[in-house]
Amino acid sequence: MGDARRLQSIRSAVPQGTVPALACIAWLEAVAIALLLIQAGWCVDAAVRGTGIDAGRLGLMAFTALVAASCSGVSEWLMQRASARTEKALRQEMLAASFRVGPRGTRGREGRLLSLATHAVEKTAQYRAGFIGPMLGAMTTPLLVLVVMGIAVDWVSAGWLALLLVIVPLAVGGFRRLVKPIGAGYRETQARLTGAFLEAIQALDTLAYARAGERAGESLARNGEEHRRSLMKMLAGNQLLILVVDAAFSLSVVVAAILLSVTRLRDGHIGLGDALAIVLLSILVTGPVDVIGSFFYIGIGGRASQEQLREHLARAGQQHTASSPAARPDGAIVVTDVTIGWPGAAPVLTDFSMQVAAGERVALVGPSGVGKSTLSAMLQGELAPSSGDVTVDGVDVAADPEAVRSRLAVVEQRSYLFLGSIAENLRVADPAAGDAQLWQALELAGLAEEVAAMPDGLEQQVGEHGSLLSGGQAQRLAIARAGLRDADILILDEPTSQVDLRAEAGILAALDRLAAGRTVVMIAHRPGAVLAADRVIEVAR
Amino acid sequence: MIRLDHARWLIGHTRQLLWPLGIASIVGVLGKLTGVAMLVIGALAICRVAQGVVVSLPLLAALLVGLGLIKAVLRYAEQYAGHYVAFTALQRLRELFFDSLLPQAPAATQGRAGADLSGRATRDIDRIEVFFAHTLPPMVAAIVVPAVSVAWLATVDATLAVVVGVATAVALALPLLAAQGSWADARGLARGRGAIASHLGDDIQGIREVRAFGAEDRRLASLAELDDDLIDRRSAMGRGLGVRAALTTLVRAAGIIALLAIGQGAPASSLAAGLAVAVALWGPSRGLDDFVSGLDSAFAATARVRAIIDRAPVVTDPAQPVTTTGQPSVTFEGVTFTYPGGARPALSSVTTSFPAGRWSCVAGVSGSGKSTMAALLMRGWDPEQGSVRLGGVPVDALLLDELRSTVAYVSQRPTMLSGDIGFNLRLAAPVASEDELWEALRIVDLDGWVREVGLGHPVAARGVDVSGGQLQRLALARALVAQPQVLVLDEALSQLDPQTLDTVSQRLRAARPGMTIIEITHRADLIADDAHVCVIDAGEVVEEGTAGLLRTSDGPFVRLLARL
Repeated sequence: MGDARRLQSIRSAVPQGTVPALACIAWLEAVAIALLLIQAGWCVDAAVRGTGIDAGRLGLMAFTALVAASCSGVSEWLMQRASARTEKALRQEMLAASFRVGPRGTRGREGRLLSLATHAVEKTAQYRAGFIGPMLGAMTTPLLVLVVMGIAVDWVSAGWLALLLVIVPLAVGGFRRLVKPIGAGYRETQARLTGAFLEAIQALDTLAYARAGERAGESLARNGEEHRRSLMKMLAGNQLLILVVDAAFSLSVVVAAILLSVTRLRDGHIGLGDALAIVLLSILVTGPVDVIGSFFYIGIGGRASQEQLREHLARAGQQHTASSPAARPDGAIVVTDVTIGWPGAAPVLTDFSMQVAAGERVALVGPSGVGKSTLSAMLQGELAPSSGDVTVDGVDVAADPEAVRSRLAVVEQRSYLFLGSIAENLRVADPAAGDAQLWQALELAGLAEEVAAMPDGLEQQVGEHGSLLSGGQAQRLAIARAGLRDADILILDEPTSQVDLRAEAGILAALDRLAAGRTVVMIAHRPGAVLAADRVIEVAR
Repeated sequence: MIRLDHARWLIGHTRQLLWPLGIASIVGVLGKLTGVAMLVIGALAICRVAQGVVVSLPLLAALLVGLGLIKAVLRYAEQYAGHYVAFTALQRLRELFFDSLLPQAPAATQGRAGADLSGRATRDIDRIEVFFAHTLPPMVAAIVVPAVSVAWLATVDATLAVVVGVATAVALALPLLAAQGSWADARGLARGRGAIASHLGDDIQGIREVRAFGAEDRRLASLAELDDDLIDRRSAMGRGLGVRAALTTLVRAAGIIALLAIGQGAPASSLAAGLAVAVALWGPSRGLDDFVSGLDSAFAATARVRAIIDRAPVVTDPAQPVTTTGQPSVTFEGVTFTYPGGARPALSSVTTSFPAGRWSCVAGVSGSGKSTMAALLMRGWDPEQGSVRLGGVPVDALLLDELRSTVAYVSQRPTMLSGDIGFNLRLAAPVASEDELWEALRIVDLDGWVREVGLGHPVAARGVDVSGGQLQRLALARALVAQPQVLVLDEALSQLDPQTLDTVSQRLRAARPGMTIIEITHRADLIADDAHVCVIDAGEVVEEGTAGLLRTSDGPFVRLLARL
């Protein structure tokens, strides 16, 4: 039920009417070309009679040519446009789903999610918007062409050809039963080949330092060669399917059409032009086979990508927009009898309680792995406790985690900086902030002087992950960003543990200014590692 | 002209593929010509029957069935030859890629370049392979089949042959005319996709910040803007493609109409033959359109793969190598180094020494430059200034092979290769005896476990059934099997529990007393009191001395301790 709904949401990413439109266009094009070829046959009749082609026929042929040309043009354009629009919709849905689950669902899967949002989205869009419609058209045009043939030329020939067309799937099905399908074995061998290659690439450092690179290269080449040989042997058998399909279509359609038309012509049922038309139309009946064959891999790749997307959406679940009534901010934190752990693991903390009064500076202290980060994630509404209550600034965390996040300013071990300028990174916290406010925030973080000295000032690019700034500068930029937040509660999650020793003093001074007038929860290995605390809470199992 | 250069490069590196490629093209051409012949024979038979000539149906049927079967066999042969080319090209390109990459390791495999590498190694090589196998032969057929067919038609009726020839040639030339535009389109599209990928990278990696600042809707909106841009680009591209497709269809249809109009005076059989050829050629010429777009993406992929393959290795063997003779001490003298593209030096004027036969430590926070020191010692890179010496000899005066057999490096997250434990242990010393393996395993306290599972126990690349600590100990044993004189442990024992760490340290010291050990660690608290420590911060040496002494002073080492 849920799966069906998620597939439905992938389907509805395609602009409405695209699939039927593309199928209809394929039909219209096939009918137009069929009519053109039938007219062509009759023109040969005219040549035999010596009457010449009359203007009406010429006009009709020109018209069908124009229709066919327009169809092929519009179909190309529509496929590109619809795929692009589908991609946009899918990407929005995919990213919104990631935002909904938050770091809990993305941690450690970043690479996979990125590839999902780019490659899988692209392939799924191509499949849904650019493949299904034309494929539907291609699969059904042979029958449509035969109907046109029946109406305009000869019902008997068309009927026979329709009957013979049934042979094709029978022949293919029979062959498939005889020969093992290409599927599993082929994919497995290919995957092994790729896997070994990627593994060697990823182990390149190790191999180089262990002086084992050349040996690994040789064994890679040897194994690859072995795999390749076995693959070719396998394909030699499996690819016979192509032979069967091609022969089945040639014999049951083209050869049959020629023999039928010759017989019908000899017996005087149809004319020369009709007979020619039947032979020419046989090309339209077999034509789609090539299309189906050459685009088959789009279908396979597209369905696999669609499945990945569907799984991701299922994992993210549906949006819950249960916004609680605005609670009165009290600047305090109350944690009562909380039991909490990461999904699929034993609880990290059981029956944990703590209270932080407004304006208080509290240090949460304990060795690694004791649950400090778990508490931080809980206070930020990223992780829900299995039992107990958490209230932050008057808001029940379980009921409205989004509201809780909007009332916190947080400085992490390593704050993420976005690709763009210093100003853009600051405005993530407050899109409406003017330059004066930005400078004020930089002043608070002790960064104003350095930024003013940069060639582009506020517009200075920070690089990927802030790589153009020093570690200390990046962390102080994060402090400035937190300062722009109008939040009464500040959470400091080991904010100096990852920076150079020499940058520490500057960061601590900035944090002290940031903490002024706020309720502060500091997370650290030991008391005094961050700012002086009014109170220390030992976290222990 | 860049494209010509890429084409020459590709052909130069895949010369052995020319004959199967030739076979694929030839059988492709023959198969499609057979298809044309069947239609022409049908048309001619009809004309003879219409003229009242008696046509033997069984004979005609036999001929057509024979041709149909030959066509099917040729089609099969074409596909098989195509796959042969594909998989051989894939294999050769991968070998070439790996062999060219090897001398560039580890510089080419770390950081951003490394993240990009798998994509290039798979997707781009696949794209080139697709081009070779499934684009080139159809293109040959798209040109040769019409040429041969029209030449035959000329022997029947020259005028009709000209009409069909002109229409086919124009239809074929259309995609080529637009080639420049499609090349630009492809690049514009790639830029648009690049911008989207960067945006998404920020969204996913910075998801905590996005949520913390409630910026979800703003991020979605700015992503939508980028996607709108892509929609515009692709709509424009679709219009171009559409016009091209429409013109192609129009030209072909016009060719048929012109043929019929001009050929009204010709004999019916000539006209029918011309018509059959014109219609039969409709199919084979599809190949060229795919070829143009396939060519673009293949060249783009080639450019990216070449950018890696043609890169010069950052370190090379010296012209006149010397050999180490002295004690295996390691010294850094005024070493300054900045990573390519780095904004500031990773190490500046680092001078320190690690005495032979001692266990020394390099301590510092992450990102301080500790691992860079190890990379310079192993000659992953060479310093900009200063020199690193091994036994008094600059490391760049030694053969890389000698340096790396003298110094062994064990990383925090070691990589094992798919294979059994024995194979992995012998990585650096393929001829090591079984006794040597067991000695190394005893030092890392894994001999008990391995005796249970056997040396033939498989190890997966990511160590599925081995714990992090076991993996680290296996990697240490692997390094020890090669009998190095200097051992660099880069946070290499970080996942060992205290008791095992103690055992392994003691056994290591006792079993290899003469070996110089340089341990890189941020766990200042675990360093033994008598160990020599070099404290690194922001790429500079800020403190040196024995750990016991440093613990009592109020310097950087103590501040490091405070962070734990």
